Amino acid sequence: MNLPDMSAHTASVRTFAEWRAAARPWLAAGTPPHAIEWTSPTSLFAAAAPAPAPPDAASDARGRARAPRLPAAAMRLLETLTLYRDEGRWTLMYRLAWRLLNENPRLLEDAADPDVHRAARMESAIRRDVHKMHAYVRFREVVEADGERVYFAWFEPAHEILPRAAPFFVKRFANMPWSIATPDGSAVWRDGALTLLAAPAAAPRDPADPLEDLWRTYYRSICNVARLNPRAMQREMPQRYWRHLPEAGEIASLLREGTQRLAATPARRPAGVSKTTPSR
Amino acid sequence: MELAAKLEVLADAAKYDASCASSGAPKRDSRSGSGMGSTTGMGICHSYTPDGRCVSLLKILLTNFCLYDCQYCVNRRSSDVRRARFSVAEVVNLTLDFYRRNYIEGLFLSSGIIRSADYTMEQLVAVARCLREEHDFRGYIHLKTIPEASAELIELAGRYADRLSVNIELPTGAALAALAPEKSAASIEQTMGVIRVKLDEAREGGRRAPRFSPSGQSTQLIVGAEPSSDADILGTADQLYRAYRLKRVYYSAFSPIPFASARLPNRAPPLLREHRLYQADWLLRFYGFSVAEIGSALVGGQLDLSLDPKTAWALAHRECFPVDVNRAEREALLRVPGLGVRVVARILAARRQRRLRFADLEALGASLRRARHFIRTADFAPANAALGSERLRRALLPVGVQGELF
Ligand code: SF4
Repeated sequence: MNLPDMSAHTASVRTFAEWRAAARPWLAAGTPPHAIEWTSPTSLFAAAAPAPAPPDAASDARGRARAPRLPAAAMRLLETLTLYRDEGRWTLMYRLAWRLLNENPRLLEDAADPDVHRAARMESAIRRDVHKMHAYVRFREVVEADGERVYFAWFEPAHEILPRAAPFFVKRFANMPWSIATPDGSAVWRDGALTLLAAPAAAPRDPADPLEDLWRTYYRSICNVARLNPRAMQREMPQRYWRHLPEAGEIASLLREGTQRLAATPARRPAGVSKTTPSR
Repeated sequence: MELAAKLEVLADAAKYDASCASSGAPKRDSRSGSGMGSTTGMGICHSYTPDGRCVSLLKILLTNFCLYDCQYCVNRRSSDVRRARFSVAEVVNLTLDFYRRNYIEGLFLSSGIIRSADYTMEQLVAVARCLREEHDFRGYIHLKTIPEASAELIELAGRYADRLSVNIELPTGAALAALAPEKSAASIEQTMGVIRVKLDEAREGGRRAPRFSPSGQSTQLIVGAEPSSDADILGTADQLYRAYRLKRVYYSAFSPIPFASARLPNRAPPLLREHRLYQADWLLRFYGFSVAEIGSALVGGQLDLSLDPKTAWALAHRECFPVDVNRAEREALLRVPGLGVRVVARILAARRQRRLRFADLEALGASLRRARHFIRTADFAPANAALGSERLRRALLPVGVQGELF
């Protein structure tokens, strides 16, 4: 077992700002990656390694003065890695920063390097998760006592992306009161202000929105059951999202209908079609 | 008729149109406005149906009543299909209601031709105008353009829509004359021409020019409803891309329709054919291939169904390989089966750092199962440089039912 006191230093961090505050003096001192044990406060060793106090202005300024600077693109990448739901992220972030400063300032251009490769995979998982959240959030309309219409959604992203995904909904629905609850917290948009609440939320049980029936009707009608390709569907819309989607309840019966029709016609689906059509 | 029943009829009638893209619109959002909506440029698929297709837009017909009798179309006047017609307000409200719940990126509105081309076009424009002007809707709008509609109406459509399309449907004038007697290739192309001129004006006029369909125009070709070959289809597509600067040509495998005309085949062509056409189209647009080059690997005018067109081309041109991954130009790397545009970009960046070895390519995302036969690296050269193409071909056939793009 990897005990924290086997490393010279330990840090327990929750956010990018905390990680940066902790990493800066070590990077300035050239502390090698293997000498630091990174954890998140929820992990087993949280008690052993309290989170560093939030950096006050003075120590932050001192840290900045001493710390070597990383290119903006590297900082953006590191900040994105923060969202990845995996204990190893902080360690990888430090190793990348250390190697950029001590080994090769152009390290990130070498996509075949194992650390860069792993970071790139994590980054694309985050990008995909954010994209899927933009796509698969479904709002339900609720009419409040005063007659105002408000919109609620419950969503379970794979990573800790709510702060990254929320601005999209602000831009799109700026004139509509909405909130999105996730197991990691909620985003609430009211009167031109976005509030991010860190408290984990439980799946709400909103009354069904009658418009969902129309949406299901549309979903059924736009599907061409004469040409089923469930694998392409599942690749883009994996089953774990289905519980958020009112239309997903129609999938089984559409598949049944299509299979019956296929059995009734001589034309057979050929082997070899699996990719969806590129849609750009 | 109830709204749900109309939606059922008019979505069903729209589903044979393959286009559902919501990409390419200029970035905008609702923060500065009174309504809702935004476009990010890349488009979002909000759902997928069991046919594997993306659901991005509310894709419906305003009406499926039609004066025309296009044989391949379920809405032709001689078909017994159930008919319906939305009012302008119904389409507007449905779009807003779906959009607000984050079901869709916007609207793709088409229509059967009723009364006249201009009357029909006016109705489509009225929906878009109401969404934009009365509701300040900033989501995506794609309008089908009715051939022979007046230039003024097309201009108005382009002011509200992000994309316009005119479906040519059949790749040759003869096929069109046989199956869509009321339509003519000339009038369809004339409409595309009007759109292109206005697109050019909007581009050249810069900020002061009136807005016109910022995401360009597209069209659709039906595959397998008549005997045109893949060479005919790709030739027509290429010519349309050049002449009218289309953003996209969609290929739609003919799907046997209810109440089908006796002049149509009663079975669908293999969906794989549609897939191969898209791959070939991709080669034309992003990989620097010409129609003639793709043509050099066709057999009897048809794409090879068992191999993707890039691999088929590589097999027919063994003299161009192996390509040295550490030295070759971008253009040569793009020709290697198993190396896509993004992988090539990564190779170019990574090899500025150091010489690439075979094992690096996997990390860069290359599909080595195919690429390995066509490349050389610091530590690797294909053992089968002398393999006869027939054996190599067999080695390259997809494993099982796994289909592959580049
Ligand atoms: S004009 Fe359009 S809707 Fe009418 S029959 Fe022809 S393809 Fe169908």
